[in-house]
Amino acid sequence: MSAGNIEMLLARLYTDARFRETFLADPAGIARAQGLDEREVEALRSIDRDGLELAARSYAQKREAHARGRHRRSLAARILNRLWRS
Amino acid sequence: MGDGMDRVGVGWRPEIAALLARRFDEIDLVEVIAEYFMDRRGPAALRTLASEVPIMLHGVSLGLASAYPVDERRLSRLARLAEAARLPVWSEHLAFVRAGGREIGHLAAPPRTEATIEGALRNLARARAVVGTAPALENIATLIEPPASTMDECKWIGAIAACADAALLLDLHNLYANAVNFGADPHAMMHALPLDRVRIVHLSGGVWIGGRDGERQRLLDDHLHDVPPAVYDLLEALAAHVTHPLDVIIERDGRYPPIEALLAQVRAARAALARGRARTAMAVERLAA
Repeated sequence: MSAGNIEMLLARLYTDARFRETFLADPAGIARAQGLDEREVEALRSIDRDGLELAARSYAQKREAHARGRHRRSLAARILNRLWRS
Repeated sequence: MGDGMDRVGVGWRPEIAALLARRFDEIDLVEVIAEYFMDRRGPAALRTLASEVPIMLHGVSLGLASAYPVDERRLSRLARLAEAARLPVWSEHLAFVRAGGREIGHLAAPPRTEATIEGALRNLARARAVVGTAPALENIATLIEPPASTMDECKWIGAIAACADAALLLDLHNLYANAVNFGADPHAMMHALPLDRVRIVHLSGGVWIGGRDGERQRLLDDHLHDVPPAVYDLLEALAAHVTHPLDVIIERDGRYPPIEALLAQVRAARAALARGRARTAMAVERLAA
């Protein structure tokens, strides 16, 4: 399941800074070790490094924002109940 | 969706709920994030909201465009919500959000390949079976072109929408950000999509990031800024191109401006739609003359 393997690799690259550093030192080796086929390995070898870093930073900020906003779910229902009871 | 008229509204968020409730007469609809309503009280709360203003349901965490099967529990919860508020129209992103037990925390673009098209189609078939209708499919913004892609974004989206016979939710700021970040013309990119399938439109804003150590700056779709003029221009062009009605939603997820400023963006979207529709009407008149 190479399509699944590349999603797994990308998810780890977006969420694990230490793994990202290891990967960038040897992208082809890490990609092969993840079970990607040779076409995918070549694509990963020339990955857009700036884009990867910016994307990873952006996802980290989103995760922090989600962690801060976990109360939003129950907040949504509470607010609606209050608004229409008043 | 509307009965022949374009509609413009905003994304309902708890932080602006009270202010918005006093101004429902100035908007046509709201879009709610399904995940905010998935607790015990969610369905009743959604019914209450639906009794005050037309609503659309929007999912952000299914991860439909993935080789992995969609999470059945999330899908069932979404189906319960759609049923509770009698909402036949819902939408989700063409994105993956988790893999190998890792939550990315936001929407990520999978490689645009035949394999991810097949994965998305399997997940869409499952979603249709559980919820009863297929979602309108939203294009996402990405700061990195997904590696190992074998086709461009428009072809990939078009193939999924055609095979699933699904409507599209066209996020014009996502499209604009991807175009400027990867060297495409936003209008040409929009016209490369199957616009006859677009029923819902998202508008939002973003910020330029990066530029450190010689890296290229990129536009981040952060939903924290006002809709830029270039995105209204795209909306006008879309309205000039399609003949069916559009539901347009202004999205904002923080740094909320005064409600008046948000409503000004609703009015600006209505004006862009009107300009686009007028262009079509004039073209039809010219042809008839």
